[in-house]
Amino acid sequence: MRRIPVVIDCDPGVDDIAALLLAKNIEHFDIRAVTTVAGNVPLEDTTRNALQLLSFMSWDIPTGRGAEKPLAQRLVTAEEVHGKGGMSGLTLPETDRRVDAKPAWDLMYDAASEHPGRLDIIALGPLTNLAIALMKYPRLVEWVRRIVIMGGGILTGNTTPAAEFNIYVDPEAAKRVFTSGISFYLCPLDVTHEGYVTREDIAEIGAFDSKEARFFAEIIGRGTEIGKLYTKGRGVALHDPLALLFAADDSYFTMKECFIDVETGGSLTRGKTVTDCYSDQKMSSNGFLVQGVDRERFVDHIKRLLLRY
Amino acid sequence: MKKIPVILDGDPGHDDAIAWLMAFARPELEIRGVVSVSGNAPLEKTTRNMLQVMALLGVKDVPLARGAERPLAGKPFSAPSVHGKSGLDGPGLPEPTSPLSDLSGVQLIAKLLLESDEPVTLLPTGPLTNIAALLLAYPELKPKIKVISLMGGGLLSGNWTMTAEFNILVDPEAAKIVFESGLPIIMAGLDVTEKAFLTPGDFERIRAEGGAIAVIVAEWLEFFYRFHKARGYEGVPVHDPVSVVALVKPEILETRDLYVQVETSGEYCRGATIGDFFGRAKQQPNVKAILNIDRASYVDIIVEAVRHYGRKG
Repeated sequence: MRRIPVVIDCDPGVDDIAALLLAKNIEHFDIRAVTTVAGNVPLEDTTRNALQLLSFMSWDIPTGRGAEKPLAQRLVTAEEVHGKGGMSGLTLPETDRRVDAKPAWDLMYDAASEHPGRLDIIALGPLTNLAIALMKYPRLVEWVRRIVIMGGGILTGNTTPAAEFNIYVDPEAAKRVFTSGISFYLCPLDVTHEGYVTREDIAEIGAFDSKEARFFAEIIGRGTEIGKLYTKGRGVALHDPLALLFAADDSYFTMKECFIDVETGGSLTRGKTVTDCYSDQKMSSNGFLVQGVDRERFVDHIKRLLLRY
Repeated sequence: MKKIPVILDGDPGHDDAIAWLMAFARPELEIRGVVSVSGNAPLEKTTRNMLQVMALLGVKDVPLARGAERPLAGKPFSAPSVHGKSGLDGPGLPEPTSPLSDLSGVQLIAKLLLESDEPVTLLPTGPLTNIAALLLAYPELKPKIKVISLMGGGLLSGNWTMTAEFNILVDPEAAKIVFESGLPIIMAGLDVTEKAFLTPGDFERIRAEGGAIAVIVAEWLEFFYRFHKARGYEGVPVHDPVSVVALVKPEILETRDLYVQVETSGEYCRGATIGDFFGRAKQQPNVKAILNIDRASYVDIIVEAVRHYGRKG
């Protein structure tokens, strides 16, 4: 099997951790690097969390340190959701692993240049690193096959009434990526809220015979209270794992090609993702909006991946 | 039965006309006045359409006034692609039988509120220019407004632009004033009105009721459907009457109390209505947003309204 070269850009973050725990076991992915960005928590935390987690998983891949702050504004974090430190108050063993000598955007470029036209970038945090990569290396537009993004909210936001966190943190970076010409797939809150695990799912995973599955259950289980708000009490929404698994297998998702961009002005709507699925504005399509997920297959996919540990 | 006093305010417009036809047919409502506004077509046309629709419905002794000619701050624009050149293209209508009031639309609404011994319901189905002007010019009359049941906005999406629904986009500043007024608001936005559609089969059911009005309503719907059919719709969303249904048959609707704001600036979002589904703004709900409708019952209510006129001959 010819594996797909992938870079995962993330801001761990509870659901980023969950996504990384799944990613290692996706057999047709050749994950070239994990890169970190400031978002859910500051960059020092997201980078330490990534290094400690990869060490905990005995997963030896380069870790690239990315941007400390958004392109054009101050960093906003979500410690009220992810806990101080970014892992819901959990800790992992100290590690002597260090970040790669090259920053996030250089690792993205290296991976792309080794596999021109084949690289998938999976972006699970604010899009700052990708925007910097695109500015520094214009050839990435030809070399990156597609970008799969967790971000945005069409009906509503979660950080402001209009804006979802990842896009709200760095609207200019999101705009840079959406308008880059690279094919992209956006997984907004509208679909990630349908990609939830129930208390029973978490208990089942927690009983799997591996430390990785147990850690997955433990860190996700801590989100049950806050998760209720977004899933109408049904469970915990797995935002980042949903985008990751969409990238791995889109056969149980629905999507629509349409115009997608970001409002960067506005008094209420800065950071809102705007999409044109049917309006009379008839904007030209530039990306794919992921709209639906078969939740049972999604949860089954998660369990299968965790059972491989 | 105690009737609900109502003032109609709209920009007919095929769906405004059907909303008004329904409002006059409902035994629960007492229509105290009707006011036009610039929107689907320029004011001269919506005003003439208002007078002709009143003649068609046989409405007498209800004051009719000419409302706002242009939005509070934005440039006026209309929707000839949807409603035709006249704003109400399709079948010929009778000539006006009632005169226009000498009062402006805002003055007439104020007079009706002042004269009423109970709070009155406002039913705006066009841009909110008249209502905003009323709130600005007569702030003391706010307690005389019971509720504003409006058609406008869309929480998931727009229609005229990707983020904005037509009525709000025409006058976002007016909408902002109304939404921030503190008055109870029932919002029939695209979230519900796109589900409140009639199919060509429904048009035939209406026509089969017989009588001049049944034929005209069926032809309005056919005209209105042309625009939507070209866009791949299986029927025509009949937006405005949902605001009437909210007053007389709320049991067929699904609603949610929400804090809703109107964006007036931005590259893409001018005119967008933003619903705070997760309480991020930490504000009390200001709107009862209608999110779903029992479509079959909705069609029945429209057919019933048409039948009301049939019986009168």
